Amino acid sequence: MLWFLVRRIVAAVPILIFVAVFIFMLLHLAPGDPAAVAAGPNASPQQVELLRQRMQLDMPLPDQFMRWVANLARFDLGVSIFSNQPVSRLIGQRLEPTLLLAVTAMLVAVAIAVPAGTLAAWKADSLLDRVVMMFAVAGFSTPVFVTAYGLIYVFSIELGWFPVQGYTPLAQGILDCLQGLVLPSLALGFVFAALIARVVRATMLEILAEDYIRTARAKGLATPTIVIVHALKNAGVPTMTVIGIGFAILVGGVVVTETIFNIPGLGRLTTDAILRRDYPVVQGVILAFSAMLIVVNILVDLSYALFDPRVRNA
Amino acid sequence: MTALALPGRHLPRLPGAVIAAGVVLAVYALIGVLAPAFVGDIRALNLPERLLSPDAAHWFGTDQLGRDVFGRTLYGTRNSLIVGFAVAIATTLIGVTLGIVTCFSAWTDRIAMRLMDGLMAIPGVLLAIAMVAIFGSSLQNVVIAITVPEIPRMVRLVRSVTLTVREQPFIAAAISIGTPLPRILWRHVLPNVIGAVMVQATYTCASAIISEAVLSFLGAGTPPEIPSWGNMMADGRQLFQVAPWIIAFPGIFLAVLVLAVNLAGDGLRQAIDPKLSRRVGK
Repeated sequence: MLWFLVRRIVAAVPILIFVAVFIFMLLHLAPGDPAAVAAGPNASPQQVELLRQRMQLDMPLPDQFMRWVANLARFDLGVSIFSNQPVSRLIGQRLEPTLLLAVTAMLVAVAIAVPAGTLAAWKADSLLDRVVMMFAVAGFSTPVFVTAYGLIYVFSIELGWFPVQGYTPLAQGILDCLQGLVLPSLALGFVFAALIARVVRATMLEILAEDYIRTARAKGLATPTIVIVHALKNAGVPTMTVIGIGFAILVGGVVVTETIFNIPGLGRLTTDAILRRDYPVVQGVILAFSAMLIVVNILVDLSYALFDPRVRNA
Repeated sequence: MTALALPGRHLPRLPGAVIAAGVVLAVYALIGVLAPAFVGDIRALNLPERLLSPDAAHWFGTDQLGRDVFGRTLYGTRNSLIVGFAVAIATTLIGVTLGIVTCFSAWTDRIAMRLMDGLMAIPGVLLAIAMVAIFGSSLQNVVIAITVPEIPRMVRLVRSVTLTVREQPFIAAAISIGTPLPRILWRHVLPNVIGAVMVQATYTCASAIISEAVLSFLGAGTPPEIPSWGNMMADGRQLFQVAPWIIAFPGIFLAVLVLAVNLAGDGLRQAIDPKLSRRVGK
């Protein structure tokens, strides 16, 4: 088990190095002068030159890269051109809302998708099945912002139950914080729920056709016991896989959701930095997101062992 | 042979949802082609008539510059369809080539698959925004920026199908009679891969249409002078509480189009992979 974990972490290192090189090359081979952009339209040529030196853009490209990698090894992601703050501190400040949003959205998704998918498979080909599957296709076809604005219109503007936008930090009250997160996590969770529900249904259909389910039926177990105790447990592995894959989509959704609901998280930090060409921040945040994706995938692999003892002993 | 075959050889009864999707797609295509002909000047500013709610003259209302939301929404169809199809075609061409070639060449395989792993580790939307921001906002760059993160999924799919095809006796037979490799790939491998590829290409098209809207909405997508649904929704963001129609109509058009493309993909998959449709039962 521990050996498995170590092997997975070692395998992730070259991927992170590739991402680092790729992002670095993408930003540094780009047309346009980042110093001129950062200095603003009213800067004199001298000011641009000064900024270029401060940003170390006058060094040869391989030297810039070596310096960046050396700093990276010490978890030093550089300093923002725009706000002059260390990138690692900026990421730290923005982590809380993004993580909370991701986790609550995931909870919403699983809470909707697992029962819906299970019911659809249980009552396969019934009206209920058709309705659930129709909602599933509609769910992942509707972009996050369409769902988000629909929810804002109904629940914030018409009913006034939730704030239209904004974010209350966790430290200022858990309830206030959660109230602000209800609509964003619903909007984000729906897309995800649709994806997971389809997989749960397909897997459950397969499992319900297995021999041991027939055996369970033959010995007279009640249908709910069979479906929930015997079948659902075995749907865990494929469900975790789709959750892992979906996390990459979730990151994209987080960026949009944070923009719509004006949540000061990592997604907003990224889009703002990209639009301002704040290269150190862009590099740092994309690297941080990629590292998160890799960590989630390792956790997903570990969860297989939880659902399937055969993986544990392999 | 494999369970995959060319579509059309044994089209089963199509479910109603797929037929509805086909009709919707035809209507969108018609709107996309005809929009320039029957929509007036979509850039015409008309400040006295700004932020009008939907009525008989302006079916979808007007935006903060007095532009007709109905006309702009119809016009936006063009942009979404162009981006969706261009990305699907580009992803398919690159993905199929890479996916098939890597199965028959060990060193390309190692390099290409590591590249794909790395590319998959970067969140697609972020990569796309970064590329548009860096290389400049144009229709062509938007297509490239959306295509790059879509490629790994297509490569992996093609690779997994090709690996099973490669082990079939007819490939060994072709090799044993001295068929040159390019001919094997073209005549024997490609036809067996194309079915799965077409299904994936349809899903890619749907995902590209959403990506374009997301990029434009975040301000790193289609140039603002081209009416696209994402741009329109970005314009309406600050005014959502006073003029929700600026966002609502492009949003509904977008959701319906993506839904139709996804349903078409589901239908295609059932038609191409009878094993799956028998198992799922529909």
